[in-house]
Amino acid sequence: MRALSYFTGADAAWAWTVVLAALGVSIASGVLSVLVVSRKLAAIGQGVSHAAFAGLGLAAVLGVAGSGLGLTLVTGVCCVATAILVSWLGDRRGIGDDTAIGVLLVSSMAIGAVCLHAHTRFGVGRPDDVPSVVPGFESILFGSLVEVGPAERNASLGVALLVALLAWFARRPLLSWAIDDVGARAAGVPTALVRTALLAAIGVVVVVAVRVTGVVLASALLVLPGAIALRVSERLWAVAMLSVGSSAGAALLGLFVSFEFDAPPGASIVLVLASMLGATFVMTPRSAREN
Amino acid sequence: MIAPTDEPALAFENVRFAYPGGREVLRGIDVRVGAGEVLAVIGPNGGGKTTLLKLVLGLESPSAGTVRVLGGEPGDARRSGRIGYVSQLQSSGDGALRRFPVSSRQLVELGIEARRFGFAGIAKETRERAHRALELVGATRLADRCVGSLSGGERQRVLIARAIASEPEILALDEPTVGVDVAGQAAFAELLRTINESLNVTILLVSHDVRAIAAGADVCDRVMCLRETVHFHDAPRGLTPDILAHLFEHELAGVFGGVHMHALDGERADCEDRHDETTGGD
Repeated sequence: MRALSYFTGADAAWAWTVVLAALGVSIASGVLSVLVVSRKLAAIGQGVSHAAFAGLGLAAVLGVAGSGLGLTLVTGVCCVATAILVSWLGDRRGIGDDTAIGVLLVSSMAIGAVCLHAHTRFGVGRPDDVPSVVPGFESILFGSLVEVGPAERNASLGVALLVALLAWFARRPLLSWAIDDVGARAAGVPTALVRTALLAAIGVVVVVAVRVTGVVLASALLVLPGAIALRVSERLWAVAMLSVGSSAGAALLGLFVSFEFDAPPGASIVLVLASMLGATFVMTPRSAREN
Repeated sequence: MIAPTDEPALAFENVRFAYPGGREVLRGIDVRVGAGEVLAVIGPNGGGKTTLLKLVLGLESPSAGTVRVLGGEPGDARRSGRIGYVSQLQSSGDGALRRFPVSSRQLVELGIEARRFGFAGIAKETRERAHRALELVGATRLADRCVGSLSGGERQRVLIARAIASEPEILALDEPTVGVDVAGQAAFAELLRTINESLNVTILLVSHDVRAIAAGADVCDRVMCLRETVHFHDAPRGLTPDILAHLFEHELAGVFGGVHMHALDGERADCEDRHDETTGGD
């Protein structure tokens, strides 16, 4: 088994770093996923994850893309700002969430593309003798294990812990809002705060997720675990556990595939999750709750 | 059942309301609702009923005049949990409620502790309150069922249990009988009476469905007809077909106005012909 040799050979420390980073990302997204799916925020995940592309481009032209911290900070600001901007724009008269996301998603891609072009073609933000300090497009979009180091692992585990604690701490206002935002607001729940906090959390999770799964696939981690869990159970805590469990399980299985066949990690993880969702259609026909 | 008290539960004084840049939705609203009273507000869609509820909840502020709820600012009463509210979205069963995996018991408990942040579990007192509320609405047997799997009438009971679980002084219901059949509406009226008598809660019931009001006529102390302004506000027996026809004339005009009945008949005949052709083999 080629995958197992990574964990016994000279690369063992790195292989474990990758596993822990992926577990952290998958647990954090598994926690948020049920809320994302039941609140129909899947598209927001898309919008926010694509903002990471703009962040990467901006980091490149600012000359900070070479350092992990600089890159994380700039993409973090972009993702969280996009999350909050979606929340703010979506509340304006005449603009719904979907329009806000549509506008911000393409704007992010355009900003990222223009910045990266300026960076590679005209040398903005890089020394003249280096062709580029940012990873290639493919690893930006679909993830790359080579990019994952101890800093990414720590960020990922830290975010997982933070998201889990925050979600547990605010679970009652969060759930009240998720079930019925108008009713929750009427009951005195600070719904604007809850919604913005959740979107900001999505932004933070996406920032750490893009390093492992890439921009395009980061949002899949926010959607698929919740969708799987909601198809399997209708008990609240079972759904929460299933969401985290399927997310973490898929991360491990996906990484195994990635190591074994040298496949892109993000794509492998997402395909495992998609297969799990497919399996729920075959194994548990839930016609009663289709909507 | 009206309890004698100095301070009315709700007091509207010469209230006007317009959304920013929009036409006036409400004007000349001068209404007092006594504590423990059951008031049904009926009117056509767009007549200002939901806006009236938003003013009571303090989610909107009047353009002119004052709204007092339980002797204070409307927002204060809502934030301190003195108003129980069932939104139209919940009643109709749309929205996340249908997708969300909560049991009836959890929904009611969440209603009580919606504003509570913290790591601790559900308080014992909350569990007891939730149990009492479910018992009062006759939904104990639904406690462990997923809310998304309940029928319209069952869901309505659970939602009302949630709204009354915090023992509010006012219960506001927006279109509570949407999707409930006539038998269900009679049962609903009975439920309102039970709640009103057991908890002495002021009930504000908003509906555009005249049948719902008719089913609850025995329970309502007063009916208020609302279309921009108050067209009628008295005991339900004073309500006449003329008042209702006047109230809903715009909706009726929307249905029949501008359409030539002959043309309509012709179209209907065409449809029936085509229907016969396509279903001829059945």
